[in-house]
Amino acid sequence: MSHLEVKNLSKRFGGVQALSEVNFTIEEGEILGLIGPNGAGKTTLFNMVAGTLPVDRGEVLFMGEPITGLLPHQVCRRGIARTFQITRIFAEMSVLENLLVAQIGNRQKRPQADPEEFALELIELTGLGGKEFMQAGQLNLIDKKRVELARALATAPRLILLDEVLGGLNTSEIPEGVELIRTIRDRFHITVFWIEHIMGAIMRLSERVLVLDQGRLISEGPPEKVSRDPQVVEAYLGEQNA
Amino acid sequence: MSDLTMYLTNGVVMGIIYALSALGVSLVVGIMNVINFAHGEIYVLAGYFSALFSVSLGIPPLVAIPLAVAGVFLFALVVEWAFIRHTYGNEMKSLIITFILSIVLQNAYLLVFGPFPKKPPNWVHGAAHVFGMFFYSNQRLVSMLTAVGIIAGFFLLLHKTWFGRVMRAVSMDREVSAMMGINPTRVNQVSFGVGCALAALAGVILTPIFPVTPTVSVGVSLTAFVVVVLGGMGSFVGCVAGGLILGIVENLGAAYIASDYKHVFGFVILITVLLVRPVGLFGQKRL
Amino acid sequence: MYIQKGNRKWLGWDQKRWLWALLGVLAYGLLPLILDRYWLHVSIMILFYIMMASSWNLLAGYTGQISLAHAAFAGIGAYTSGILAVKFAVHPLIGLALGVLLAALLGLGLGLLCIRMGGIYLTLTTLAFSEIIRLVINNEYEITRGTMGLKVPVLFGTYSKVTSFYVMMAAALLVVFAIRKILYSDLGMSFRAVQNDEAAAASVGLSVFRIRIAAFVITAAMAGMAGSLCGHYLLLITPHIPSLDMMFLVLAMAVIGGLGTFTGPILGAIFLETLAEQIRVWGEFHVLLYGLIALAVVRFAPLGVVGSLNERFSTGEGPRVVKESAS
Repeated sequence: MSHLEVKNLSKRFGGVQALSEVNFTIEEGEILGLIGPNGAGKTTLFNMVAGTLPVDRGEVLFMGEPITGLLPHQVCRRGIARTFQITRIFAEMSVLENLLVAQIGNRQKRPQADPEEFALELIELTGLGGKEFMQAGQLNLIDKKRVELARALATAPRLILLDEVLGGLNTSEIPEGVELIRTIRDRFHITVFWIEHIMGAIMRLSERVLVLDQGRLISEGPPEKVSRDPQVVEAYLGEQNA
Repeated sequence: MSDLTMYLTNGVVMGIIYALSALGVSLVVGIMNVINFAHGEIYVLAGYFSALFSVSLGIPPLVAIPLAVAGVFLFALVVEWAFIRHTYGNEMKSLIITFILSIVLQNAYLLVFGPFPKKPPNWVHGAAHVFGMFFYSNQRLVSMLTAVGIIAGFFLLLHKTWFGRVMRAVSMDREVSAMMGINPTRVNQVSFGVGCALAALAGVILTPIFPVTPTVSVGVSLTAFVVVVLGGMGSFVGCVAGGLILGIVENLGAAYIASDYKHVFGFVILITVLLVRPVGLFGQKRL
Repeated sequence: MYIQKGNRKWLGWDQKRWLWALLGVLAYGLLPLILDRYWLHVSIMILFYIMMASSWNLLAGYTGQISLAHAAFAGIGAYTSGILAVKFAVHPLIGLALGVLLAALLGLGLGLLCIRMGGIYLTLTTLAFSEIIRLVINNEYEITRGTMGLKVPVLFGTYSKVTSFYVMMAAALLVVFAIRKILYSDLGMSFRAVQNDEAAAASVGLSVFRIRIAAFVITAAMAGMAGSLCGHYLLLITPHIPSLDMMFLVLAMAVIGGLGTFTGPILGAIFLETLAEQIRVWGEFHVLLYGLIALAVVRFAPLGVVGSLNERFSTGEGPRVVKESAS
């Protein structure tokens, strides 16, 4: 049984078909990348899986159970966590509180866990050690992204949707970020589905890659195969010339 | 039948005037995303000024009215500079500050002008035989026509002048307008002034009919808000439509259902609209 | 979970703080022994305002839902127990419970009405709701006696200002303690998360719907209780209770004291009500003065007195209201 199944997902915004007939599956423990030119519909896809956007047509199944049409908090409780492209941390709360509040709705997943210990563990993991009592809103962008990621992990997910989590990092920080994502899968056994524009990172780490262009899935497979796919090249070149 | 026509006429007259009053709120919301809770108090201030100038100071009405509006306009500029400017981008703050401002002004009026109603002299007297069916106050008719004139004038301002174009641009997209070199602070300042001037105009037009007291302002504000929500925030057509609908519903409701609850109709409309179609009849802004 | 290692705290305060709080409560409790009738009355009204301001702050300062219907809920509580007592000979204590229940139910209704709205629209809806309540109360003269006021019996036993004081104080302690407990519980953290960012809160498994409604219901019930107790203390229930003027007083107290802080509304209520009495000597100017102070505070010290002090000394006394965005 695959972890996530997306069947014929479609979405229309006024006159624009944002997604058409998108079909794919994610296997448990995979690191699946999602790439595509700007406006391809990547975040829209994430939003529909996470329940933030209602589905026009199609369905989403998680661990065999349908989750189409569930509200975001219900999707989270089922075991899917997500980060946002533009960080949405709880600015007026401390880093620790950000991670504590994320556990409130999800206690049933780790009934034995001590919330503070788990939070502190995640703080260490994401490199926020020493900043647990700082107000999240006063951190710099990188640390905010760390909080966003740690907070998603605090919900004890089985699948995590990362939306351009490496965006804004400079070249020296990217490898660290990539390692962190690998650790999330290796240590916590969380399936990773991530959107990224930094090609080097996503192609290096992902075991499989999906390519979206203008709402359609145009390619799918291991990174080497996808990067040589003429349709993919066309899509990106087209964007360059536009 | 003549009763119904009279109620409808009154509804239309009041509706036009409500629309004028609401324009000021709509403008400020559309451009600055600030809801001016002190709207009614601005209206009332204009009423007080016009009464003060024409009655106590003996200034002829034709001069007193523009003077009153100008006075309020200046006052509005000061208020914008002192309080409103500070709250841009923070809805909660502008809400709270204008709410407090409205209470302060109400109480200040009580102190300065006293509790008794004040009104300037009527512009015209007598009543007209409308549609050959009933008599209707001339002052009300003249007030309505003046309101129509001002609304039309404002429409021209919005669509035919450079300034109007700037206002519409900013209301559609602040950021892009700023990038195009339009100074947002200046626009806000003037918009708030114009919005209050519209409220003031409504005030000077209506005060000969409905004298002002320190407590009348709350009703004025609420009515304007209902109209703006009903018609759609930031929509010119919406204000006119909303005003007319409210005016007619209120008057028919008061006549045929219950006159004590005249104002409840407005609130019920407000809540219904917010539930069913929050952007209002003609609105485009999303919540 | 909230006991931090080393520095033992309970509900956010260490032993020293709790000791001070206890002393404050005891000192307040001794007031009936030293105050004259008039000032005893003031101290009772202060307790009423503490309940109102603190509960409104829980809703507006911690979930960001600026409701102008709070006074209306107090009015609902008051008129329910009052009318039941006068017209149906229901014992005021039972009437009180029913008043609280009705306020909570209407709070639920209003919360549901507002759930799709935010900001301006939410406030306008609560304003409309509040005005409808006030109009109904004013117009249904037969039942409510309108502006004349409804004469009601004492809550229980024989009337005594001292008893009333302790009843009000017990209620105020209950409300304030409940608020503290909520703030330092999962629900309290959820409130703040929802206030900071609803979409993010939903993405981490919080039901924004339930949280926002809970805030309305809880705070409406508190206001209903305060209103009812006030009515049975004054022995007269008037439309002043569910009025915008009352709403403004409550708002001013919370804002001046510090919206989004715990002690802010309490101190605001004490300070402003005491100030009002001083000013009454010269005339009914206290509302104007409140307004001017409130205006100055919101303009120059938007975090309120307690909020600004917290900022200055960063003791982390408690969660604060959302700061203005960079604009």
